[in-house]
Amino acid sequence: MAHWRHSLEGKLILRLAGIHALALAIGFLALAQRHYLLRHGVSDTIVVWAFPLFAFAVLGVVIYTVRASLRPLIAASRQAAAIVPGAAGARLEPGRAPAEIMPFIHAVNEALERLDQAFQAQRRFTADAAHELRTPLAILTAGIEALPPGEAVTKLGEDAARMSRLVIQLLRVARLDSQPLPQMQAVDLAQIAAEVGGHMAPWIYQQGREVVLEAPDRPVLVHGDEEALSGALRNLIENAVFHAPVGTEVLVTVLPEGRLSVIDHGAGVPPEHRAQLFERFWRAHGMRRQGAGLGLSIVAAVAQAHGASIMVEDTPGGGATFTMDFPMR
Amino acid sequence: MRFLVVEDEPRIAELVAGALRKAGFVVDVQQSVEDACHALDLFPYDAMVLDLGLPDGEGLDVLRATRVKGHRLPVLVLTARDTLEDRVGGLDAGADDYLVKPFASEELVARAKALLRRPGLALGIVLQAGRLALDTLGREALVDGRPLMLGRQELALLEHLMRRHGRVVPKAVLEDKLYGEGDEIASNAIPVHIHHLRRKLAEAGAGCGIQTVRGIGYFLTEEAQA
Ligand SMILES: Nc1ncnc2c1ncn2[C@@H]1O[C@H](COP(=O)(O)OP(=O)(O)O)[C@@H](O)[C@H]1O
Ligand SMILES: [Mg+2]
Repeated sequence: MAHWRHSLEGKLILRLAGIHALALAIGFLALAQRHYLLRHGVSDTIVVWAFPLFAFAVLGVVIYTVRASLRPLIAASRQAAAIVPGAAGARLEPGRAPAEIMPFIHAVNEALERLDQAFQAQRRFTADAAHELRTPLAILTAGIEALPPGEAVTKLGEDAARMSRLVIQLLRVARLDSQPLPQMQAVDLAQIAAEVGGHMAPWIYQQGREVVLEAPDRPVLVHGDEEALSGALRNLIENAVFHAPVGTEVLVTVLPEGRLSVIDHGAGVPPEHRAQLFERFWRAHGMRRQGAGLGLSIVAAVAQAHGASIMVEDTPGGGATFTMDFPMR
Repeated sequence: MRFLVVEDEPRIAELVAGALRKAGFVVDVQQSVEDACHALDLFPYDAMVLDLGLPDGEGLDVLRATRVKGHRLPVLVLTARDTLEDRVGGLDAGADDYLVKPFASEELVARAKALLRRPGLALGIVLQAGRLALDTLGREALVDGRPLMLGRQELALLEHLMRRHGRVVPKAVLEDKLYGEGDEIASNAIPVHIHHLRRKLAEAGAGCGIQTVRGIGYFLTEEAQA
């Protein structure tokens, strides 16, 4: 075995053999010296010292060799602890690890490789599924719109819209699963809120509600993914609009300490629902026709990926207030 | 005004073309990169609706080819992929706007019109909303042919809101617009102008109005026509 000398066993044998050879040499020298001293009538003590010194040297070499050999293993465990799902290409560095643990490190790396491939396959599947589902939905939507107007056509249109929304949300969930943290960088919460609010405002106006933004003039920078955050905020605003009575306003606030809230004046969320609210496919009774209960689970997944907390409270005077708190850098 | 629709999925092509024709445009449909490039060489289209996934290549190839040849026609990209990279890629390649499938036909027509409302393009000279027409060259606004008495700054604001019809224009952008005219403006100039504009539009029965989005900006609304 060519790697024999790099194994823990090999190192120990070589080093201990070295110490033994050294001890042997010293022993011989000591014998020779003793012989010489005796012949000149001088007494000696060196042989008395030699044995404990030898024992300490052996101990020292064993401890040093074992420690030094296992250090790369500790480094590898640290690397393993830092691996997050979806971080493609993360591998353990073998470094100068002893040959005994090499098979383990290689096995872990091969497992990571297979995981990477599985993630990639899922990502590709999500992208392909997105394409394959969106096209027929587009045909359906446009086809229904092209029909002569009537009550049945309006209902069909609503059904198709609900279907589209469900498919888009499912695709987003699948993407969050296969790619938890796509592009983290410094993003401005105030700007994201202004863009999402501005983008949704004409639709909200059509729904007979209003959206209002309160944000500082200065940027509120957090570490995050703009697309994911915009999507989460869109879901919160959409919920607020669905649940707020006609004629009321939905307030979006951004605070300099990294806090984003969406405040509505609807029925609010009763305390007994708050625990399940963020679970996938959960929705209150009577909400079946509204949606699939995915919106808030997406918000929660995005919050978690950002190390942010998400909570729901009562709006003073009635309604729900959803708040995300981001860690500031 | 003539549109080129490049889309290989026949049903979508048919429905997109149908929606645009209903809005009063003339529409040609092509189904491949090669045919689209050929058609663009033959006819000076006013705008193009472009699908990204085509049988013989990427829709973006058509876009790059037209830009290389110096065509400045506005392009609305359709895509079934919705990741940010795809979008940024499309806009980098010179697309003017993008729409993710599935979309409402109404939205498609609104976006297509918005593209043509840019300065110098087919709908960009006389802007229309409700019964209001704004002649950007003659610098006057008319409601059913009767002139509306607007100040220069009011007209500039209205023009910008009309060009961005259906979308929110951030307050800061409107402020820049007025600064761009070389005017000193007070901190409450925009709300004051908007207030006056709103009153004048309502009094003239213009069939359109201006909605405030507090903390964000303003957008033009059109009353449903009876
Ligand atoms: N702003 C709100 N006010 C009151 N209830 C809400 C609000 N937002 C969400 N909910 C409740 O949470 C449930 C799940 O919401 P969500 O996860 O967004 O699902 P969906 O995609 O069906 O809208 C809804 O069915 C509703 O009961
Ligand atoms: Mg929802």
